[in-house]
Amino acid sequence: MQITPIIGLEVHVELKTKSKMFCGCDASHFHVEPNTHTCPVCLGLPGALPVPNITACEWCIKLGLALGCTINEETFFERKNYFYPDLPKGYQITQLQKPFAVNGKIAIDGHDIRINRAHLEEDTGKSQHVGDTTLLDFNRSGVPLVEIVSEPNIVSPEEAKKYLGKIQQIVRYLGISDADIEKGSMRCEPTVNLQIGDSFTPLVEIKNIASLTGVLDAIQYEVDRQSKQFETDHIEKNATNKTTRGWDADKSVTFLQREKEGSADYRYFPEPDIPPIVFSPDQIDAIRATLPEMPEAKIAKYKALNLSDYDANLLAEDLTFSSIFEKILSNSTNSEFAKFIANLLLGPLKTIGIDIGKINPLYFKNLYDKKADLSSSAIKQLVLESYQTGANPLLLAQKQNLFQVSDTGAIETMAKKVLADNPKAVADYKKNPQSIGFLIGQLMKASGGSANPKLAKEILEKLLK
Amino acid sequence: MEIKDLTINDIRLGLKNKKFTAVGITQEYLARIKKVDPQINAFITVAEEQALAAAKNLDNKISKGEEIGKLAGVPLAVKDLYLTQDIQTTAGSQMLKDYLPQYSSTIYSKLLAQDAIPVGKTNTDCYGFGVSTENSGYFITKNPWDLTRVPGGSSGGSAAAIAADMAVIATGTDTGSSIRQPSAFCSATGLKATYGRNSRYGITAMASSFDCPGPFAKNVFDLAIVESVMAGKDPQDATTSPLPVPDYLNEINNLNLKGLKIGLPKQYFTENTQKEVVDAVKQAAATFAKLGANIIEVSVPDPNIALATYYIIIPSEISANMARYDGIRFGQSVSGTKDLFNYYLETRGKFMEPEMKRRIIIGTYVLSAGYYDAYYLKAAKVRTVVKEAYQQVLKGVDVLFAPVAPTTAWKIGEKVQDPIQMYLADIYTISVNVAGIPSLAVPCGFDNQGLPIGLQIIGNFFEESKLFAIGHKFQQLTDYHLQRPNI
Amino acid sequence: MSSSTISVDEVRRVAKLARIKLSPTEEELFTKQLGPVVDYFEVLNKIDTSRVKPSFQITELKNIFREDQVLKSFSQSKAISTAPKTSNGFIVTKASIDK
Repeated sequence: MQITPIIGLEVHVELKTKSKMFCGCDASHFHVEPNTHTCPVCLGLPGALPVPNITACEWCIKLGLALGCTINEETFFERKNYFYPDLPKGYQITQLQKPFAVNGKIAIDGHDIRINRAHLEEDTGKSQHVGDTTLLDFNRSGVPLVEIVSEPNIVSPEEAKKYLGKIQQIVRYLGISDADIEKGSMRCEPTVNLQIGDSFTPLVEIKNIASLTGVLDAIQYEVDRQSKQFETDHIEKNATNKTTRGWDADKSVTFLQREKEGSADYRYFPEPDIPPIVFSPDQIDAIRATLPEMPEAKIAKYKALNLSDYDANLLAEDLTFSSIFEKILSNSTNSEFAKFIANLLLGPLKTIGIDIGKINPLYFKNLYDKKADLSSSAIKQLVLESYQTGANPLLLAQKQNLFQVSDTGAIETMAKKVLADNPKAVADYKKNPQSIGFLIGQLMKASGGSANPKLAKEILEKLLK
Repeated sequence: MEIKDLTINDIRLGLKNKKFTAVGITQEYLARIKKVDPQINAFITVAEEQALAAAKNLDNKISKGEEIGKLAGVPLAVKDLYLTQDIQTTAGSQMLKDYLPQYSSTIYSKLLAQDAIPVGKTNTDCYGFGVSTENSGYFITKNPWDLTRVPGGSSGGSAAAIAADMAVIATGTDTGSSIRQPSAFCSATGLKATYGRNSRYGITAMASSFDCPGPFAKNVFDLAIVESVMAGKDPQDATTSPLPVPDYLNEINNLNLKGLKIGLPKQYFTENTQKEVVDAVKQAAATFAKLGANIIEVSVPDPNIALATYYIIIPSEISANMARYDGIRFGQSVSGTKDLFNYYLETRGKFMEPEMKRRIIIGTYVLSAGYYDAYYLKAAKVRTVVKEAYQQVLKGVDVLFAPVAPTTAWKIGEKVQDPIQMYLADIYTISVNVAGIPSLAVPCGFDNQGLPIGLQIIGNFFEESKLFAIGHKFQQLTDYHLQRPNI
Repeated sequence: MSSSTISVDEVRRVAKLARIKLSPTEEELFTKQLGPVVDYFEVLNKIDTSRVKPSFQITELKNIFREDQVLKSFSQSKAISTAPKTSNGFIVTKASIDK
């Protein structure tokens, strides 16, 4: 029977604002001493009141726009009520009825993954379980989060992984989040079930996934588990049999989590402490105008320069990288030049964390113009040295004598001497023309590496005839 | 003149002219508290040490010739819902027994910045849940006019402290009646300001969209001084208004009585109201009529509508606002429970007062799955109807005169078994909270048992100036506010 | 919302949701008291609100924000000073039942 996975993803992206969502505490919390970035608001002390961070609101709209969403002009926050020690107020300030952004989409290999909403909310504190106690750190409490909820129209674990990668790329392009799954600044909770023939298996929400491959593996595991389960029990999805399973990365299995008692009824209602938020169409357009060119557009542009699919994708993957590429290219439409830069960026410069400020486009142009006189290894070396020292690569080439000698007369003189000095090798060549390599080596050595190797070979062959 | 009869300006001038010292006044008030409060129980905490330290500090300032604040040397009683960094804050609940807050409420800080002297923290129904102080987790405050009766509530401790001359000014909060009704029961003067005029930051929240912190004093003039210190935009309370605060004292004598239109809402003068209360309020209107004001009967929405709206929305907000009381980051907690779920149940079950539980349960019920539209959403819509109706009525008249409460103070214990009767005590005050508009409570008479009666002067949004001017005029014409209980 | 009696089970369900342990006396009392309170709400059905926007708050304010600026936080010792149980800068509580 035909088995189709039905996958929806809830993705949480932590915004990298300086301060928290509703108070002025420093929003950083990774490797920070516990409870040092807290105040009455994010500790949920009596009498404390939230005041929203405007940058977080603008960034949520920005992300909504980048995801092709419609922006609700009027929005408001709501309270989601549940008890947990890392939720200090006993409610989370979030959005339900009127999220900032609705109805977007992301295309994955031509398939549109529909996005239901992107809304703004606050993160919880961190709890760490030790024996029968829990250690609480509220540094993360109140850090702004955007929750992006997809429709369940993702059809495979691979597509889910790509979708997540795409969101990661978009938020990094926007510069609003590090979206680092390992550090917890991006979190993903897939909901998975299967369509088997005309039947649907019960919904399963998977929690605690801490890596991108974990997403793939956990969904794949669930797909396999559910199809086997269905074979034996034939239980179909209904309104009450949704379950939550945790992902155990060590054992690569999902396991049933015990339901928090009575937590299903969140009793949402509008947050009375925060007046509604209204962004006019003009304000929304102003935010739209700050959007950078998105990866899709860049890839198309690079491919038009005759870069390979692979190179175009690689260059567009990261905004810093593509910005450097475009800075060096300086609006040139010369596809040879584009390929030349791409090779350097994706080659020698890729491994070092490059800083766009230290890139001088002129040097690249200089190198490109002289590329016929330099060996490819010399170019790689020069690009690196020039980047590290800030020196003009052509001056470096001169100093180090890296320019290839293409003066036939000079090479011929040297070649004659090499042939005279190596009678045995000349004799070898007569028997076996393949052995010319040795003579070329000697000639290169004599020229201090500066001879154009192609020319050297031609001249030697001519003299040996 | 006795020290206890001094007004804010008397004290300030006396200090400047070195007629007395701040320490001297503070000691006198502390001594009076020691003598009188055992009968009344207005204070949960008497802040002797902090009061004397503040007074000493002020005397130093004076001796160095430094500028002194608007409330210099004025003994201040603080409702125990206001967080005070140096003094334990219980909110009238066992849940917060011995709680020493890490920060102070904005208003408390503003009052101290004007050199007020905090003499103590006053009793209240826990978190403000009540109209009699009988829901306090500590003890019941007695009405200074009759010790067998309630002082009203929830700010009953503050009103009683003013009435019994244990403080010159006090703070309260008014969510449904909690400044005006105890003012009426104790013959104090109190203001429920426009919602958003005074900051809520650092005051334990009861119902966020209703809570109005405000002042008590012995007369309208002093009240206007305190309100001028309290009022204004607080960057830490997003619901405070950015409108500038008028110079209340400058406007307090700007009242043209000729043609002043006073509305009497007929729904507030029914047979359910004690006759002496109706008569006293009508008499107050007649006092202004004699001076040229027009008295006009007007119609407002049925107060029962506002009361029902209120008792849906406030428990909803309360149920969420009370969720932070879990004994983990602060407050009392139990130990030895088998798991986290039972930890919550037992901690909250053990330290919450019955009225706190009752309101949380009502609020949780009306917000729980399936009921939101029928209750919360419906009430929020009716709230719009009530607000617009009051704004409409107040376009036709300058102010409304109304009784604060249907009766004078009742006997302690009389209504504790019947929450609806208790809730109905707010019937004439709650519409104002539902609409968000300001209302001033001033003493306007006594019933035949000698119990105080209060008049409400209700105005449109941000018209506190007008209320002060009318209330001040009334106190120039009458002496109810000068009467003191025999204590 | 017809004349409602609220069952003791309903009170128990709600109390559990609100994480409050009620004594049997309280359960009985609240069951008795909750019904009339809810019945009282019916007065609202007299008001036609079909064309009315809800007031979730009473001010007409909108767009009240703070700039994204870091302000001073509490010191660690101050932050945890009111917590009944702490350990090495953490606030300590019971472990939860689920992992």
